Amino acid sequence: MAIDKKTKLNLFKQRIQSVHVSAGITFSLFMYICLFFGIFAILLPYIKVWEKPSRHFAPIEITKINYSAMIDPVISAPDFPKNNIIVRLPGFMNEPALSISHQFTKAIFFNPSSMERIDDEGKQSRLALFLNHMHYGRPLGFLGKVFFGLISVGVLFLIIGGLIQVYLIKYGNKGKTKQRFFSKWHRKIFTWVFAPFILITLTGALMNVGLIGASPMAGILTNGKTTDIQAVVGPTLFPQPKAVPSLKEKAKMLPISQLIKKAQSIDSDINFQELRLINWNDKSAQIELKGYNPYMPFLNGIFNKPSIILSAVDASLIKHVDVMDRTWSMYVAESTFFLHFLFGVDIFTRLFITLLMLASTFAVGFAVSLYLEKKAKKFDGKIPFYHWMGKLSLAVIIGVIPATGLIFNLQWLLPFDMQDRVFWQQAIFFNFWLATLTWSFYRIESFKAAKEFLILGAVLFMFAPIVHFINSGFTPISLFVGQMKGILNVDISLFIFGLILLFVGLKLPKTREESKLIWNKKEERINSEK
Amino acid sequence: MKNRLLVVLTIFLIPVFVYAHSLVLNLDNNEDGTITVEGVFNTGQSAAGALIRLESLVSGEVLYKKRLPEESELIIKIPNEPYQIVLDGGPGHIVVKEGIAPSKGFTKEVKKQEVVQVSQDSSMTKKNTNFSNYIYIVTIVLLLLTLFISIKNTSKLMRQLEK
Repeated sequence: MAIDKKTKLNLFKQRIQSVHVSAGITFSLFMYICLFFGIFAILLPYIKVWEKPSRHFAPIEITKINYSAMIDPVISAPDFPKNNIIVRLPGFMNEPALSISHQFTKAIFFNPSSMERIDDEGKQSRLALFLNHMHYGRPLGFLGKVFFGLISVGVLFLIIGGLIQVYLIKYGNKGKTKQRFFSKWHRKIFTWVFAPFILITLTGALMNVGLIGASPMAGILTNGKTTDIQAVVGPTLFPQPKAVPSLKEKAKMLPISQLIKKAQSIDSDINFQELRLINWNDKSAQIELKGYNPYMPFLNGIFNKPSIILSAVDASLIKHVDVMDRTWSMYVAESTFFLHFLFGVDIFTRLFITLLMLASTFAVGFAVSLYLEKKAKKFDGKIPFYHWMGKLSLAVIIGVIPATGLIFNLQWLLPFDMQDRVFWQQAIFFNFWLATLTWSFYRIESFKAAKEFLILGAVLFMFAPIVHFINSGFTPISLFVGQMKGILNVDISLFIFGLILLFVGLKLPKTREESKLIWNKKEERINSEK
Repeated sequence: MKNRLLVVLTIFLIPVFVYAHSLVLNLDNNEDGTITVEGVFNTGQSAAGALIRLESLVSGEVLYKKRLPEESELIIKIPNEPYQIVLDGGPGHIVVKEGIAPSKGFTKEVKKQEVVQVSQDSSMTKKNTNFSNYIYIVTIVLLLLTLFISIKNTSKLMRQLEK
């Protein structure tokens, strides 16, 4: 018997829904981890400053800095390279310090206001980096990165499958049952955010599996000369500057602040982030000033950095590379990766992407809740719902909150000179997170455990700024008066996040039965209104 | 069938493991009592500015130290004692190779000092590992406890369901 078109379409809809549910529940928790820590990764520049005692000073305007007082002693050291010296200006990625480095040396940091060398915490303080590493599976090593990359690939299929479903299936949004609520908001949020979300996921997949798996392609492109994709794309994305021959003649350099002012007068649209000092103190000396043009987002910032090269002797213009002076392949890479890296963008763009990611974490949470709610229905009125996936989801989705709150506290509780400080901090974090899994299984009623995790998370997040104030020696007032508003904002954000968690934790019903009563009342209200 | 799967996996995984942006140290014996030391990135990029050090394997002393010029290579006189060449490209980019001996051989020999140094390092690592073992014990205990609680609660609920 031949199947008619309508039956075929219905079968297709059923199949695509089944695939979406099975794949979704497999990837959901990993995807949630990606998104949850992704939020902290977006705010990385601010956390990076908050976490280090050495960065507790006010930022300074780049044209008011006495550069030679810091640069001259560094480059006069016999071991320090004399050419291609990189000076990272304060303000780039919210970093208040000025750094002097070379491709082959460790960066030396300075407080640009006092011109004193900073004793950088280095590997003793890696909170922001760790949260970023959690975002892409790096704590699990190379395989973790590949695994998270494959999860991104899976998520891409989920997004496409989800969009097809929204297009083909007519979902009803009315009614106030829990299932309808979860289903509606899962669909709504992902329909709203799918465009940036797809770009961010695609680039995530590209970085974790695309680049490292592109070796066969690199081999084919170069006729077997190399299997390293970086060797193929590197010359286009990161063109090597031509060496400037030294004249071997000493010359007086113009003050860098004066050169920055000159560059700003040539192109006032560029926010300068980095300087390259070429043949410094020689008659042939040049300065390259690179930056980001905020008026052209998606076209510059990561690979494409508009720049100005001036003579360091007389400030004459040698070269001006504008945003639009590059090849089309550069713009493709730039626009694809822009939303993932957010280099040089302002706080508002970062907050906007944070909100998108936050909404996506909720959307994933709703999807998992929908799946579990369907499972739980089978046991209604018989026994409490006690399912391994429910408990695992509870520990991953809610349990991660107090664990993250704890790691923020540990950042300022553990002494900075403690041996293996970062190891202990991370080990305690992981074990605490694991303990939330144990607790999830211990509490038969998941609602009760969720409530406890939220309240504990609230306390820890509200406590983190207090620990910071006590152990850093800075009060909210001294941070405000001392122009360290970025640090104070992190403290305020942590406290507000804690307050929100407390509100949600207190409002959350204690049992599933209690939650059902609330939803039933809502449905009754809607029915009576009709 | 199994073999085919293995071949496919090998093809896809080998490039994954060989992927790296690393420094390469090339040594050439010029047969005139000197060596040519070249430092480049495996991507073909120049490593001009990277530090080249010749370290004595007898005393640990630095026998020679210079940054690579624009040409990315240096011609260095071969020392009389066993040595190693270090291409120091900054944190995470250090390549070490044993130095080429002069045509008539070295005049000094390697003492046991180096071995003692290595064994001291490994004992330090062992001490740290022992200390961190407590963390792993806690992890295992938590996992076992989770399993135990899960079994206990499931049985409790099963009994409740049977009633």
